Amino acid sequence: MTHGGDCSPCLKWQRRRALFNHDWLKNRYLLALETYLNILAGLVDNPGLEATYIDNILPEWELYSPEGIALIREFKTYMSPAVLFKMLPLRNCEPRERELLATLVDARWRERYPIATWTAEAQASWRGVQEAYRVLRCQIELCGLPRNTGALRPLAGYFEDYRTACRRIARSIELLPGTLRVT
Amino acid sequence: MAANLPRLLIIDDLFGRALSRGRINRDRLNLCGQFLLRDVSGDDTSLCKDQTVKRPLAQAVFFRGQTPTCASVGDVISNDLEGCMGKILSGWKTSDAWAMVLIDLCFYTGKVTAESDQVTPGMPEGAPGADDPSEYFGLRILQEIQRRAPELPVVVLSSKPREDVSLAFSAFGALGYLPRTGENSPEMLRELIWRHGLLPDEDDDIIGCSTGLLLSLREARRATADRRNILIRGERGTGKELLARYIHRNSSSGAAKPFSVIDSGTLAPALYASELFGYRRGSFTGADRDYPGKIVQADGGDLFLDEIGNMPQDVQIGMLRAIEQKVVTPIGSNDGRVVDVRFLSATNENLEARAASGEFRRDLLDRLSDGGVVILEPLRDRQSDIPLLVEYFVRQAESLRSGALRRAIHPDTITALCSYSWPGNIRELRSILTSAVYNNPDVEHLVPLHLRLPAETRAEGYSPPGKALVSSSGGSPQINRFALSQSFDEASFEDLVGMLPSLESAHSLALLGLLRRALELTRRFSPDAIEGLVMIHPAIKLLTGDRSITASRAADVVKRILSRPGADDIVAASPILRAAREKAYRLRPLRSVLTKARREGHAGE
Repeated sequence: MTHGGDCSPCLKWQRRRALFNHDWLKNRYLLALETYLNILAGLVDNPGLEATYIDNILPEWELYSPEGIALIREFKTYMSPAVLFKMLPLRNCEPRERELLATLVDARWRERYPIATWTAEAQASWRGVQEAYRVLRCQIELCGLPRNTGALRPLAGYFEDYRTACRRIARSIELLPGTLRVT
Repeated sequence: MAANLPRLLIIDDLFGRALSRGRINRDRLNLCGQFLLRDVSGDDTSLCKDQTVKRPLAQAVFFRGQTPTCASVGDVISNDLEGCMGKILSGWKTSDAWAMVLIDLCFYTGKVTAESDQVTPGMPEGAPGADDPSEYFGLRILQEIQRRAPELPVVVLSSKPREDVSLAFSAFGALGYLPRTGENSPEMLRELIWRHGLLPDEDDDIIGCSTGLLLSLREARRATADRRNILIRGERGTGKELLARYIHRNSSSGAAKPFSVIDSGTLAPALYASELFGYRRGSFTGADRDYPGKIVQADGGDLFLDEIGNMPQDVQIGMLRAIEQKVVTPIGSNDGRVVDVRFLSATNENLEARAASGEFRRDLLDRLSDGGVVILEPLRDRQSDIPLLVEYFVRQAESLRSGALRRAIHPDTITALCSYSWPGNIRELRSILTSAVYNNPDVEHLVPLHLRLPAETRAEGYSPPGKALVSSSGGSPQINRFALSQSFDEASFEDLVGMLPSLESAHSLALLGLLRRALELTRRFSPDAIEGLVMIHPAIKLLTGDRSITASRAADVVKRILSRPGADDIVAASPILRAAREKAYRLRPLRSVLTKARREGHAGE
């Protein structure tokens, strides 16, 4: 059974995940990266994207990566059914009982679902993006100026590695349950 | 050329939205860049000169599926199911039809706030529960398409997890799922269009873009996924061999492999086995050399067997062995040869009925169709293709007839050709048009006068049968009662002797003719009934013009027509009328009618 009701911490986490994973990473950042790869492959001409991609769009990862790792780290806090004890009506329990039951429910949740595996995979994929991004930026810096398509075409393999890493984190964050699983 | 590219409709809130003040929807540009699409939506973004896709794999029309399409801060976005359906149906069964429709799942609604507009221009903040898969608006659109245009190919295009909705989208008729962030996106889209899209023959060997034809071509392409045997069904002259060649050309084994043909319709039964399996020199009188046979000639490729129903029974046994064991033994030899041949068979017959009566082996029929059955519609059901076919055949005839002038095709000619029932289908159309050009090489117009259509349409110029008695001036067609009443003004005393029974007989004949034609035009075609299922209810709706008539009442009308004086012989000679009688009596047994009639006091009717 799931509980996707009106528990606001849960909804807030879901909303943040939607903004990061669905709105930004999948529908904007990865799309731009895919198009840029097609530009490098000579399949698409888009002077506007060519001119802005390396300096304006690619570095968006630096802006969004803290939110990515925060979402992963806070998943257990906001999506554990223990969160229900911070909300009515369970908030009205005796403090000792509340703490004990919340601990029990949380332990049961971690036992029943592979929470540790899911979060470990998400964290590993986040580190994978960080590393692929670092390597890609280094290669771009080594290319020097100007950073036009012709100069960057030999780096297509690095861009593809980075895309693979981005897809992996999108998938691993997507796999984190979006509802409170009580049983 | 964009015109030759498959035309996709993409319904998506993010990519379909228009932006005010000349702002470009860069998300849409990037989607086109990723999937290699040419945007032909006709709004500001599609007119953007910023991006060129060099070898687009499709042209795309984007649609938001919400109102307002172009939203600013303060606007409230709501989903627009009727707008979606209007857009979808505007490109369904038209000459410029969608090859495929791609639908997003989650459509965000609510107010466009300054914050949401800053993050993604024109997008709302989203209503609570928008991410709940059971509430996805995309699934609602799918349901509606399933209800109103179930044959329309639809694929889900989404960045949402597939596993959350895979059951729902399958249940609502979507044919696949294209992730926005999947690997090899253009290749995946290309594959989905190929497998599910409604695409004309890009080689132009098979002319036409009617929905029925495009569905047949899709079935043919799907059947090429492996090397199993395919049965093609269709009336004579519908282009079964062309379809077999289309399957061969589009198979993964490649067009370079051999393609052999056996026309069972023209092959003498005695020669069938030797032609198919080959023979050794001296194995029979006249066998003055070794002949490998058509199956061996097609090794590695395809063998097309036209009019398979004509295959002699003894040859059917050899065919079974060739299919099952993949071994062919020539006549006069004991050594079999292993072959890899796909059999593409064609028939115009009801082979199931012949199998039931023992004339054709059921096990052979099953093996000849284990890779699928592709049905070609008769030309009378592909009227929208007639103009294209006319253009093609007229130009072909002009090029073959030395000195023939290039001619314009008069609209009345198309009308005349569309009024004919084409029992000989496309072959007959080609023949009539070729004659029209050959007999009139020195004119610049093709007019109805040039067409030598068989008697069915010649009674009144090129009007359809019965047209002489029909007047359509000032509204819906009516029987010309005045012409009828004047018919006997000049009749003499002798002319009227015995006229009443004769007229009643003619009346019966006319009613039976009308019913037969209505049944023909309302037949429902399916893989199990190549000749079409007889549908008496729609036929009677058509004839009476009464859409509210009940099925049982329609059965009564059929029975009344079929029980008219002199009808028995005509019904006995007509399979379609026999089937209608059977259906009518099954639907409304005689006893219940008689009981009702007695109760109402007019049992004699």
